[in-house]
Amino acid sequence: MSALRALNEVPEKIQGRIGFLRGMKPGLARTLVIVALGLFAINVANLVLSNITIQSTYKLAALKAERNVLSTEAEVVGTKVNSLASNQNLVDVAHALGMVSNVNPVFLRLSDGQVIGKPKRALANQRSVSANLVPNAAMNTDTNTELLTKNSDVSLVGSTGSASTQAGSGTIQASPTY
Amino acid sequence: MSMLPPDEENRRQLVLRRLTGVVVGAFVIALLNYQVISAGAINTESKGNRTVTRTVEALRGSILDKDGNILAKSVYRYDINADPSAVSPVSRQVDGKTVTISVDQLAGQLAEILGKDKDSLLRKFAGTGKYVNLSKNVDATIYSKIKALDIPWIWPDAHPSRLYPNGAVAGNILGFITSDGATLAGIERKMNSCLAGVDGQETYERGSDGIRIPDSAVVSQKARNGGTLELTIDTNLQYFAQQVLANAVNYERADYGTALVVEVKTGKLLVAAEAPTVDPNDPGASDEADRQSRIFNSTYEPGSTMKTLTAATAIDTGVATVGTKVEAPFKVHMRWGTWIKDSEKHETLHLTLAGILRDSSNTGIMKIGELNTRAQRFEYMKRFGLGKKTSIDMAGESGGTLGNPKTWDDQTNYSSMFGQGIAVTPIQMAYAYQAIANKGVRLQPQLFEKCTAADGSVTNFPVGESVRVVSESAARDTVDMLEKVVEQGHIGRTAAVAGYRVGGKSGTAQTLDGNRYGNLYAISFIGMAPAEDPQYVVAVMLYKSRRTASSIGATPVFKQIMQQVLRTYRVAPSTTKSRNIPTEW
Repeated sequence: MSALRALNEVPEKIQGRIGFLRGMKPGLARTLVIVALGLFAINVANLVLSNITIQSTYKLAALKAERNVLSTEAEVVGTKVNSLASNQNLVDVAHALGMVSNVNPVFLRLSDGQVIGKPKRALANQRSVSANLVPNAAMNTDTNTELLTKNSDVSLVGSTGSASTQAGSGTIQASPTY
Repeated sequence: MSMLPPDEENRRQLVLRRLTGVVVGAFVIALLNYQVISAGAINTESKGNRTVTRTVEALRGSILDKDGNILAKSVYRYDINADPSAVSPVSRQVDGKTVTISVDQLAGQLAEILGKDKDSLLRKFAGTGKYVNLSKNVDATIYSKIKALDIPWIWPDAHPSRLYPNGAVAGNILGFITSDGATLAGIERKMNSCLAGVDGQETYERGSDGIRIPDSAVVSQKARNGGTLELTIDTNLQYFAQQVLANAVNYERADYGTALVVEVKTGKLLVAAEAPTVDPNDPGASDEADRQSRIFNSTYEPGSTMKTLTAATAIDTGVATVGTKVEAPFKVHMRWGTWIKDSEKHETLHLTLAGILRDSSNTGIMKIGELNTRAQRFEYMKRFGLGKKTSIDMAGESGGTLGNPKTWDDQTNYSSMFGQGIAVTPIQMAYAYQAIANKGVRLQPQLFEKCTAADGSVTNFPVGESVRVVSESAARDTVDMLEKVVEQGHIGRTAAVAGYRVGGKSGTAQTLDGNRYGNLYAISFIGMAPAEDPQYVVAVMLYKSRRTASSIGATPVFKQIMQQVLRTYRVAPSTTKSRNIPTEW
């Protein structure tokens, strides 16, 4: 109520000070002042909103830039994972660790205990594939086999029933299988 | 204090007010003109000066194997460019101090990252233009390192590219695309409708400095990324087969080799291995002839693996059984003047049909084959899938050559019984054996599982209709005979897999050297296991082997791949014995 009263009083005071309002009827002068104040308020609000929008725009731009950086990082990491998971890398690692494909699998038949097949040592000879023969130009990262060999001392600690496997500097909890 | 009389003062104030009114009025009119009357035209002109429309490239879809492993995917590659007109030292904060990095130092850092010569970069920087390319198609790792240097006059242009994480694994069937996105071969070309996206368009505004105004982009057409294509290929098995095959091709000094693994009951192609192969990441590193898929595109005369089809035809038409007795001499003189011989000299043998296959006798199978008319045999060849492209219809696929039985000369009529004078593709022969393994029903090869579009909608690919080639009993008889090949055959024995009943047939076919048969052979072995209920067919072929002139060079490859297949899919070892059928009389 007091605000309405103030609005009624203010135009009369202003009317006395502003020349072109002097001769006007008080009602018309009040309307003009209210419209002017309204326009001013709208402009101020517009200015505030514009500032907020501009700030949001810059924030959005910054977030988009961050997204691009993260996408690039994801692509870099993804490509490394692809490279490490490629058949070629896994075979290289297996060979570096001394693994050789055994072309003479042997089965034990459970029904009568018969051994099927002739057990033979797996040897890296002309007939067994020992090198990587399938090229991969996308391999930009490979496993550090030297590090792998150095850290391959695996010890099991299981005195309390929970086992842990120590590999290198990290300790990995083994699955609780009994 | 004013010294003018009041009237004069009022007059001057009036003039001043009027002048002010005129000026304000002029401004108001100008404002109205700019803001209302000419606003549209000015806006259009202004926007035209600062608006840029660009194509938003859609990403091509991935290709996955049967287990979801990525065989091909889209990544971004970057062209690294510089603005020579803006080249200048760069200031950086190091330990809280501002340090100036000279152009020479920056060139050194860039050269190290890009693997270029520093002096060549400095020469490029010395230009006066606004653009010079320093390196093309660098990956995200290098791009990140360049970006970290934060050099204002270096900028990257990103563009989608293709990455094949497993390199040449399935490279021959995957095909490849050029740097401008053109599909040149294989699945990339064949399945372009699934994989290709639809480029979009966006319009954005730039400031007077040419820099894009943030958040000004308006997308007029949204880019639609390509779909994900799932294959039936088993990447790990594919890699294993390629390794074994490449080893054999090197050892045998063959022109090339192919190996296929087919899941008998579904017709799914699990392995399509070739050697030499192509790495789609770097197709230029392979000879042009090795960039295709010979499994689909190249034909060869199958040789003795064809005898299995001749025998099955005879049994199915009722003109022979597994025990049909034949006298098989070392050679037969044909009435048109040529000799048809077996591969090794021998006395006349008394063989059953099973024995003919076991010993791979040309003279013996000829006597069985002539029990059918040439039209009958031709009809069965077609039913087995020969002489026609498969339903996969791979880019560049060949249908093989059977010719017309009515115009076959006498030599072709007989030699076709043991796989000479006709040409087939490796995939055709693999699926002919799939029909025998699958109780006489040939399934259409299945290589594509499904295509999942970017919006999640799934398209399954219709598998062509199956074809009843021979009766179930004729197929069973044929498998039983093939088992005798592996149990008793001189070469077949080397294809045996411990613990499993295996059936198969070898082939040693003459190959053309120009217009005449030369002295090099296409050696092959196609077989199935476990023979009591075949689950997988493995088909191996080495073309123009130079070390071993018989299929004994192909059986070790068959054996290793079949072993791995049975182990991978945990097929239980056989517990039954093969059927007792006579091979001699």
